[in-house]
Amino acid sequence: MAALKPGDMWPIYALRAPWTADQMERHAARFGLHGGARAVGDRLVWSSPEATVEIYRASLSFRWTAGPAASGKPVPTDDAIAALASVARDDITPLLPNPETAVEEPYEILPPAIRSDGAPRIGLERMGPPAGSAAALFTRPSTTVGHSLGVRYAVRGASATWGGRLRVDLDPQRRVQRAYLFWQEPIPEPVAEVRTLSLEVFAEASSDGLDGRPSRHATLGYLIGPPGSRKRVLVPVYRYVIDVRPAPLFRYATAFRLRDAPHINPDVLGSLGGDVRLL
Amino acid sequence: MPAEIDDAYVSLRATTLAQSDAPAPAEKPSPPRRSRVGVGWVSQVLGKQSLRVRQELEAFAATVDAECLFRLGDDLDPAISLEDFVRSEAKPSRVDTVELLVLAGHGGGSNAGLFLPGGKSVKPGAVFFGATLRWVVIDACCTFERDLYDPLQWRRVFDGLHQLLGSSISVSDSVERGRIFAGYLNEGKAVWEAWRRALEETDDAPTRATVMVPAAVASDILGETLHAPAPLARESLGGDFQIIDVAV
Repeated sequence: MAALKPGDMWPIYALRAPWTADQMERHAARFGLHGGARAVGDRLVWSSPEATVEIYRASLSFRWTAGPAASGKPVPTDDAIAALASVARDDITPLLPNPETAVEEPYEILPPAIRSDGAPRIGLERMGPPAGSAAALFTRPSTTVGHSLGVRYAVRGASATWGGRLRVDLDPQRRVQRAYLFWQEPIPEPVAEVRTLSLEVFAEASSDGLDGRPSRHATLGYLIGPPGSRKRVLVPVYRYVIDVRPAPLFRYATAFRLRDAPHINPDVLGSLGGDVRLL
Repeated sequence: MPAEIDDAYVSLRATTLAQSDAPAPAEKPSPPRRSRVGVGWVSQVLGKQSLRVRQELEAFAATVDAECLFRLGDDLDPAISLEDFVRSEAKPSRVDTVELLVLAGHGGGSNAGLFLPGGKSVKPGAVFFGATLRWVVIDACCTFERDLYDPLQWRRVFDGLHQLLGSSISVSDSVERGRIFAGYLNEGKAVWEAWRRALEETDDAPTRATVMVPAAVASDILGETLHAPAPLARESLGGDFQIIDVAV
């Protein structure tokens, strides 16, 4: 992670309220679906022969799935998903013959407050069937090809990863079959700031739990919860890796200790919701 | 009062005869039997408590619309053994009483499978999944790892099993995953779709959802729901196997 120093200040963002039914209706209309929504679990679902759209009440997240009569057109409209479809069509598709290729394409997708210090970027990584002798075992005639789009951006000069998830699955004819956007929109102004920790903290954490094996590295970003879970704040979180052979463990920790950030009022933090964990 | 008893007997018999003479009433459809599930977790890694899998599977058991017949965990019983979780060839196990078994813990590498206390693991050659069991989920890293070993080795655990679900690469542990998986099962989503969605919504980094199925009946099996397993003859479950591995 570039230019991140212990003691740097990072913002906590509040998140917008859950969607209202009216807002969800308007969003479904952008996909060409009107009326007739069904409440299923934690979301509203609109279906047509062309597509099904599921919109989660708790967040701005949704899923789009091609129906039996899908025209093969990319996922339509809406700023983020239209961009996603455009990226899939124009940028991902030419990469398909080469499974090892990964590119980054700049795209304006984040709210202005989040992208204040640098151009946000969407990293594209092909995640289709693996190369090698076993590849044939991992495919089937209707294989979908997934593309992970992790959003990177900059805050205070340091790059970070946005935990929202964007994905498009393409069929062998390179038509969009599934797409989802798991997303919770921050309110433009940060509600608090937290102080970053030194990496020694994570060395301590890993030695405490796992026989002193050191963490390899740590990155700082904003992780987002499941689309059906309501969060109130978006807290910066370190992601670090503990070397537990033969497979690593991934761990997450909030980016501050209260004693390092005396300017933060614990009552205020508590009022923001249960997602803030103090080290 | 023998006479009264006799009268009662006659009366009962008469009623029974009258009923038998009447046209048979339409058979009431019996309510669908609740599926039975079991969960097991290993929260320790290298002898230290480090995974949040108990929270995950407790939430699954509390949410899923099924009868949970057992909850097993190394933090509940440190002496837990391989046979507590699974069936070895010679020894029947409680997994033979459920349709869905969800296991969670740490796994990966050439050992291929879920690590258990005492150096054992749930892996090909050590366990068998069948009898009533239709679906096994192993929520651990690298169950279908393909660089260090042949993931088709898992064919050896299929003893009537329909699907083995997991991931081919690293997955993060998530306290939300069990609840979300159960929620989609309750909605009637296919088991495979529910597992895929649960991983999509809870893994903090791109990962892969993977399922292994008997190839000849793959399309039937992939549409199975928790309360409606495909009615397949045991002999149709052999032959070639197929692994479907999608990025999520």
